[in-house]
This record gives sequence, C-alpha cells and structure tokens, in this order.
Amino acid sequence: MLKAKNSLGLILFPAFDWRISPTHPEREERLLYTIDQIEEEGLFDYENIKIFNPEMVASKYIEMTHFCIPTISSIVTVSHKIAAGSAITIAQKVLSKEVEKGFALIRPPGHHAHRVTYGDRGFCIINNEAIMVEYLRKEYKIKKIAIIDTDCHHGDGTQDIFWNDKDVLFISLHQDGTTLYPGTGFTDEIGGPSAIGYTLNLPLPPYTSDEGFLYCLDNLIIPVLEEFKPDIIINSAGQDNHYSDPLTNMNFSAQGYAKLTEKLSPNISVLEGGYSIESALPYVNLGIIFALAGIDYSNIKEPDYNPERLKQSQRTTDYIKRLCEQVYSIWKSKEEREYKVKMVHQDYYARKKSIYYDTMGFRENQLEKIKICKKCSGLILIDSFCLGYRVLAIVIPHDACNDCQNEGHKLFENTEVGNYSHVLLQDKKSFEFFRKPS
Amino acid sequence: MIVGLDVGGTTIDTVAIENGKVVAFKKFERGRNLIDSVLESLNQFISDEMILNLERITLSTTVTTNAIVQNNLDKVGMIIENGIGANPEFLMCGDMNFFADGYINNRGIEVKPVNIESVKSALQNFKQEGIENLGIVGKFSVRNPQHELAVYEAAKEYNFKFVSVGYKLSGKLNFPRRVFSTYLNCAVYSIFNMFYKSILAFSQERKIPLEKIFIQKPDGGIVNLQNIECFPIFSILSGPAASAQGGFVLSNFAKNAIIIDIGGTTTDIAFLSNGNLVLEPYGAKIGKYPTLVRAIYSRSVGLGAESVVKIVDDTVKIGPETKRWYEKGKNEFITFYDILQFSNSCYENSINAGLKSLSSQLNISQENFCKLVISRAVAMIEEKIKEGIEYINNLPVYTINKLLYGEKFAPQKIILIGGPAQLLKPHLENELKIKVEVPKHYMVANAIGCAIGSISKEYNLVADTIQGKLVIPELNIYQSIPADFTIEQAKKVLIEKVLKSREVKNQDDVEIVDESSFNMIRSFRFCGRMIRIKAQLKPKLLNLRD
Repeated sequence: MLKAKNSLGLILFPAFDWRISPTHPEREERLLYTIDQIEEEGLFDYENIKIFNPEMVASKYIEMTHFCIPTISSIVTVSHKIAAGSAITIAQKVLSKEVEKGFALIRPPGHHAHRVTYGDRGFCIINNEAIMVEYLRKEYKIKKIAIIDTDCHHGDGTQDIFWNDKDVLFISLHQDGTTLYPGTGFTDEIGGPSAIGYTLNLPLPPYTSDEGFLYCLDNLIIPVLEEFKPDIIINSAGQDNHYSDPLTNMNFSAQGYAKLTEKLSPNISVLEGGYSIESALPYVNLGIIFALAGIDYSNIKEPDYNPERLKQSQRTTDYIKRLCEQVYSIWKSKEEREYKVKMVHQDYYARKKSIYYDTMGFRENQLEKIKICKKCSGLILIDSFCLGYRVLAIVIPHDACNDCQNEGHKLFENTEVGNYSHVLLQDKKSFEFFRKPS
Repeated sequence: MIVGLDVGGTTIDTVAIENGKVVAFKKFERGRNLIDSVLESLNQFISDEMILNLERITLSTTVTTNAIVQNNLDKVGMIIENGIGANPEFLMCGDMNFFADGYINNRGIEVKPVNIESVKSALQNFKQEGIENLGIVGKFSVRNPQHELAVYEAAKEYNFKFVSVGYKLSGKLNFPRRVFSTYLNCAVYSIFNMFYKSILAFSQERKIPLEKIFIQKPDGGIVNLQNIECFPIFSILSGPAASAQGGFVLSNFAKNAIIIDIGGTTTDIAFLSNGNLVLEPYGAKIGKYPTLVRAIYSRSVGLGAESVVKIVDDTVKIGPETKRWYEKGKNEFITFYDILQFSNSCYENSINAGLKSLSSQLNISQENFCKLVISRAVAMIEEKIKEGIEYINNLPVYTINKLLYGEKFAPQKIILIGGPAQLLKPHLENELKIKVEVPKHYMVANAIGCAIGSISKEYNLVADTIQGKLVIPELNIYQSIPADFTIEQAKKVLIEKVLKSREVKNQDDVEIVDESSFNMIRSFRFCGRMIRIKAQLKPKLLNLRD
C-alpha cells in the first residue's frame, strides 16, 4: 500500500443533493470533478490518508459563535450544518492525533458569515472555521489560534467574529476590495481596541500570480506566525484565486496553491470558495491534499498551465513588496497602536457597520460597542437593525473579567424585550447562551 | 445437477446439488500439485450419472492466487499514460515500463494526444527483451479509451502473446488500481492458461460441454470458463467469496449478519448488510497490489483448526504456523483444534502430554490454559469484526440524504461455518454476546457457496450532454447522445444494453444501485447534464431446501 509522509484526514462532503438555485455557481456539481480526480488518483488507497464522514453540528456551537436572526432553524440549512459539523469533525480527528493534518472539502463555505447573521451572504450562512474555533477552545482548551484566509474574497465574516480577540490571529489575502465582493479587507482594518494588529489584511491587485502570493507568505505571513507562535494553524482554503476562476481576476495556479500549503503547513484546512469547478478545483484540491500529506506534487499541473502567460507585472511585484512592509509594520507597532486607541476611547469603542447580504439583497445596519477594560478584552454590545428586526446582542468574551461578565448578565436581565425583537447573550466564558423572548 | 468445487488451504471440498438439495459431498486431501489435485478430485467426485443431468460445474480455485503469492509470474511490459497527478514511479509494476505522453481528463476529453511513435519504440524494446505479455493503461481511460485503443492497435504489429487494456477490467475510477489490475491480468496469463487447458482436456475426456464449466469470481459471482480467457485475474481470491456466499444461503438469507468461516489455516470474515454481502469499494487487494477486481469485502485471520499453539515470551501464540494431525509423532505439538476438543470435553489422550507441557510453562491448569487460548482466539476474531464494522460504517457518504437517513450497519447474528464451527460456537456466543448460528452442511459450506453462485457484474454509465457522449466501459459502449438526454433515458439505455449483452435474460435482473444527474453550469448558464448511473445484476442465489 502507498504511504504518505504525513497522515492526513479528509472529509469529502460534496452535498450532491443541495443547491441554492439551478444555475448558481455554488451548486451540486461543484466538487464532482474533484472527487473524480481524487478517486482516479487512488488517494483512498494511501494507508495513512483517512476519509471521515461528517456529522451535523450541535446547535450549541452555532449559538456560541453566531446570533442567528430570527432563529437557527429558520435560516441555517441542513447543508450548512453539515459543513460546520465537518469542520468540527476534522478538528477532532487532528486534535485527538488520529491524523496529523486535516482537510475538509465541503460545501457550502462559511467565511462571509458575521457574528450576527440574518441569512446568506456570499453563499455563507454560518462560519465553519469560527464554529470550529469555539469547539477547539471548549473541548481542547486551545489558546492561540491562527486563521490564514487564502480565499480570493476577503474573509469579512471571520474578521468580524475575531475582531477584538487577541488569541485569534486572522490574516486574509484577497483580491482588493475595490475590485471584488465584499468590498472590505483594506490594510487599515487591523482589529478592535484589545486586539489591534491581530487582524491583518493583504489586499492584492488583480492578476497577482504565484510569485506574489508566495512573496506574501515568505515575507509577511510566516514571519508573523513565527512571532505569534500559534498552537494551531487553520487555513480557510478558498480556491478562487485560480487563473480560471469565473468570479475573480487572479493568476494563481495549482502549483502555487500546493507550494503555499506546503510552506504554511496548516494543521487544518477548510475549503471555502472556488468556482472553476472543472479547470481548477480538481487540480488545486489535489495539489493541496498532496502538499498536506507530504506527497510530491510536482506533476500536478492544469492541462493548460502556462507560467509565462500568468506572470504578474513588475508594478504588482513592487506594490506587493510595499504592502508586506506596511502590514508588517502594523504588526510590529501593535502595542503602541493599542495604547493610543485606548487613550482616545476610554469608555467604549464604537463602530458603525453596514452589511450587505448579496445573495438575498438586503442590508443590515449595526452599531458595535466594545468596552475598554483593563482586565480583559471587554464586553461587546451590538445593536443591529435588519428586515424589521432590532436586536441587542451581548457578547461576554472568553477571557472576560468578573466585572464584564456580571455587567453583561445585568444588561441582559435589565433590557426590556419591548424595545427589541431579540435580546441575546453569548457568555463565552461560561459557554452559555441566553435569549429573550425565550 | 450443480457441482461445486472449492480449493481451500488444506482440502478440496466438493458438493453436488440437485433440486435445491445437497445430494453428495466429499472432502479431498489437497496434494502438492494444485492443478492435478483439482482434476483428480473432479474426476473422482463426478460420476457418469452426474454428467447425465449436469447443469454446471463451478470451480473456485486458488491457482492464480498461488502464482501471485509465490511470484510465479509471466514477464510483462506496461505502457502507462499517467497524465496529471502523482509522480508515476510507484506504478512501475511491470518488468519493463514505459510512460507515454498524453492525457485524457476527468470528463473523458482528450487534452493531449498520445505519442504513438515513442510508444512504438518502447514496444520494440519490450519484444527485444523477450517480453510476450503487454498491459496498456491510461488515466481516465474508462471515460474515454481512445488512447488505450490507439496503443492496442499499434501493438498488433509486434505480435504479443497476450495483451490486456485497462478500461475493460472495470468501469471504476482508480488509476493505480487499473495499472496493477492490468499488470496482474497479464502476469497470471500462463498459469491460468495451463489451468484452462487442463480443464479443457478434462471436459473433452468426460464429454462435458465447456459452456457448463464456470469459475467463481471474488465477488461471489460466476463466469463461464470461455468468457474468462482474457480476464484470468477474475479467478483470484474466490475462496472467501465462496464461504461468504455459502454462509449466506445456508442461513436462509439473513439481513444483517457476520459470516465467519473457520478453516484449517485461516478464518475468513464477511459481512451481510441489508441482505447484501458487502463488497470492497474498489476491489480486492492481491499480494501487495490493490486492484479493481470486484470482490466481497472480507477480513482474514491467520487462525484455523491446524494453527499451532505455542508459548512465546510467556504469552500464548496461535498460528499462523499450521500442522496437520498426521505430522504428529516425535515432536508433540498442540493445534487450535486440539484445544477446542479438550475444552468441549471431547477429552483426548493423545494431546495430554503436549497440553500439560504448555500449561505448566504458564503455571496454570490445563482447563485454564484452554480457556486462555480460546479467549485469545476469539479476541483475534473480534478485532477483525470490529475493524470490518467500523470500515463499513465509515464508507464515504456524498449526499445529505444518505448522511441523515442512511442506516448504520449493526449485525444481529454470526453465521459460523467451516470444520470446527460446532466446537467454536459456544465460545463465540459467550464471549461476544451475540447469537451464533451453525447451519446444516457447515462442513462444506464453501463448496455450496461456490456451486450456487450466479452471474454477477457491475455497469457504470456516464453521460455528458455537453460533449454529447455516453460511455458504459464494461460493455465497451461509446455512443452519441442528444443534448436533451435525460436520466430516465440513460437508465433505459443501460438496461437495454445489458439485456443485449446476453448476460441476463430478464429486465428485472438488472438493478440500478446508484443514480445522479448534475446540471452543468458554464458562465452562469445551464448548458448540459452530467448523468451517472451504476447498475448491477441482481444476485440470484439458489435457495437450498434442506
């Protein structure tokens, strides 16, 4: 039997019986050719590549990550629950050391799902990686987590959820927001008052090729990871940076994805987007699987691969160099910046957000307030309006001090339902969820 | 009358079935020359009266399996078109290998033509080195065999003795297995041919038409000897299939069960889920090679009646070494069968000395020693049972419906067959806390399983309406379809083609086991359908009446 260098766990859940609409790019056929390629490649025959079936995620983990409005059952589909469950299952297999690395090839994706969610944004309703992080913290007491989002779209949902969380380093590489959905992910989005510099964005110009991605990895991501020293590295592995992707404009190749995966060496990868289902996904997924398992991937090239044609311009190269320097300086000066922010906002740090649900065509308006606390990362209060609902969402962070925890509970008790359609409390510290009306 | 013959590790078992009843059975000692032993047993067992109303003879033999295990194989040259994917070095199974340039993609579309000129010079080399058997395999050839066939055509002028093309062996995707299956199919050609010729001579001598002689395949099905000439690999590993099938019919077609066959050298374990014997998802593993040869999923333990019981480093060890009773003499030894007999109070004087010596080494009584050996043996079996159940329950599920509503496999009983079944039954029942059934004729269950097999086959249809193509590799069908072709039409075509192949007579014997139809979207527009259907012939096992 064949044996790979690293043992690898795979979850393949193509959800062949689920779709958004008959011609939607996120459709039943999406992982079909990938599975064909994996089968033809004989990957199931490697003795240390194991395939696991996912399980549905328990509602508790969704509640501890999201505020689903009006309810979980009314907006989250079975398919989304299985995708999130897959992320948990693969994490469990890696953490219990059944396998060294894990890759969940699942659909639908999740990285556009924010903390408050009213439905589908960019094909995401709940955030697979964020739910996995809650699980890892609760069940395995993992402290420091790095999420590297290599999807072509900015991982705005993941950024939102870990915005003020110093224990989660979130780095997103993506096509810049002026040219692509969701229009966010600029370098000045660097995290909330208690986690400044723990959100890092690398908006890349269209037609960035392998060279540019790998430059960011070598010159920013890996050095930052070495300094952050995470207990676990998670890759939100979107594959829509591929040169053949119909929704984006980048020039990344299967070889590039494989090299990136090899260098990053994530413990867990979770599939996000990628809609070039025939010309890219079979090769990119195979490349990532080979790189994770430590199998030679040099023979995995798209049939029409031509590195000369995909070469990025000198301007792009120069820009990326400056970008990495700029972002690295943010990382280096994060304490100083945090101090300054906390000096200006001595009580609460507030930001207004307007979140567009592209799939469904409506907008949510939010006021988020983060308490400036000397002992913990601070209580978070969210006032959200959307679809005729008004929601007060209270988050007691996992590192909350007793004062913030008590304040959160008190606020929940004292807030009349009359003014709001929903009053919700996530107590991450004691892993409990409360809602009004119950 | 149906005659079944099963070659085991120790004996050759024969059985004759008439009107659903076992009318004769006999166990023959297996001699040194396997083919001679098979022929001798057949000649002795089959009387002239039997031939008068003979319906068929089914043989389950280990001739090809043995050749592989003993590395008694032909030299093979392999032409491999690897395309895109893993580095192909590990595929170099042939005595000479050539990697051809070219690529067919996952939809069966030619991406790069095969370089025939370089293939020709490789073929020339093979011939110069005295290689007579040729295997030809391409990646995704089951979606489009055009490149394999081009090489096959080119090879004609070199007059190889035996040529095998990969796509004909199975319609399943799995390139390395296709390469290994094709290689093995070529490598066992001579040995199988020798067997084939001996049976041919036998049939002529005894005036039995060749149409009446069948070979058991590892999936429990049978195939006529004439039809297997180009696929000798299908004659491998039929032993576990025979026993699984024997256990299945003898227990009156249970729904969820484990079938355990304890023989002389090994114990084979097969699984019955939802009334069907569980198959290997891709195919059998033969020697060191995983293949696409359709096979019943079975686990084997090196534990049988003749397994020698020893003490190694103060612990009990059973097997895999075996010894026959007649080898007893100067060197006293104890077999697992002795232990079973002793503990079932069939006290035997002859084993007393050996047993005493072993138990005294551990400082325990003979009774306790036997208990220890048996619980160790049951544990060995239990481990494989657990492995099998876990494996079956972890088979990939690709749809929400199957994940949510698919049933988990939970066996209700064990069907125990093979020589020592009666003696082992109480121990399995006590230690595993599951009902154990030992059916009548448990002694020759595998020969019965071999006799009652029916024709079995799987068919994979893939229709791609963008390309306007339909393929059924198992039937060698590659045809055009209209752009509005539907899944209903595809099912109809598949059933029609299977009936036309004359492998079955009745439409009801063809069972659709898997079907899907995907809308293909390019640039946000519907532009065609990808239809996939898997069908199999329903196993029609003979019902035994007694």
